[in-house]
Amino acid sequence: MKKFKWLTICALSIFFMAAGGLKLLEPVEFAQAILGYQLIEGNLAWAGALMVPWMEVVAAIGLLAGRWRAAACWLLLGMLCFFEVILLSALYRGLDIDCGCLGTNASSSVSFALMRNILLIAILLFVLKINSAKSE
Amino acid sequence: MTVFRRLLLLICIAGLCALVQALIIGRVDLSIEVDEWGVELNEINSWESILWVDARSRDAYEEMHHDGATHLSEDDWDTGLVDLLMEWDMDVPIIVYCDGLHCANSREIASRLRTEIGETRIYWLIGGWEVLKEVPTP
Repeated sequence: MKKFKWLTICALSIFFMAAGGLKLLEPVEFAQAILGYQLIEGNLAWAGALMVPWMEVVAAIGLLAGRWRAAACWLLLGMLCFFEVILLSALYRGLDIDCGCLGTNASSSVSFALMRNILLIAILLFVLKINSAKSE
Repeated sequence: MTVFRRLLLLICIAGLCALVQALIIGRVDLSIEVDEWGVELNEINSWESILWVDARSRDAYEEMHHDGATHLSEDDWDTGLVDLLMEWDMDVPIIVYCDGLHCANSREIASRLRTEIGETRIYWLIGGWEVLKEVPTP
């Protein structure tokens, strides 16, 4: 069980580290992807394009540090729920855009990103549960 | 330290890193790159006839599209291309549109069409459906 827990945490951490890192390498392209959702304008999109990847990277590191794990999980859960709302709104408006979730080189559709985020939320809740069980 | 405090600290650290990155990068231009194939709506007002190609999702196309537009996307390229070729009079230029200013489908579809059909007068509309939907249909 301990091995499985660590494997899950490491996989999550690597995923979010990669997701954040890829976007940090191409902040302008990520800002363009944010603008593609047609929800916010220039400066706000640019702020989001810088803030979101760093939050992912910081949370990915936090996942690996025992005391910070729960906070990192909550941060990622909050972000994923927020992304789900945005993705649903894009789907509702029939926008045929690339989700921009993993930078511009790894394109994925909005509907695929929605499903993947649900899986990630489930895994994070599992990590949160075993983490709280351990602390009790 | 409580989980909530740690959470706030993580957000602050991320914000600080983002701020430093913003200061390093400086001012950026988020306007899209317009190549020679991009056309503005006011440029084409004088064109007598245009074949419109809708490169948005099938659902969005079926819900509403520009008058006379045919649907073509990467997902159903073969069917869409046949429909397009049946509609197309070879003297008429083709303009592809997608959702808005920041979608790339129109550029990609226009580029692929130029390669596959060998026709050069295939353009993409700057602003896409966002500007085209404001145009009254006859």
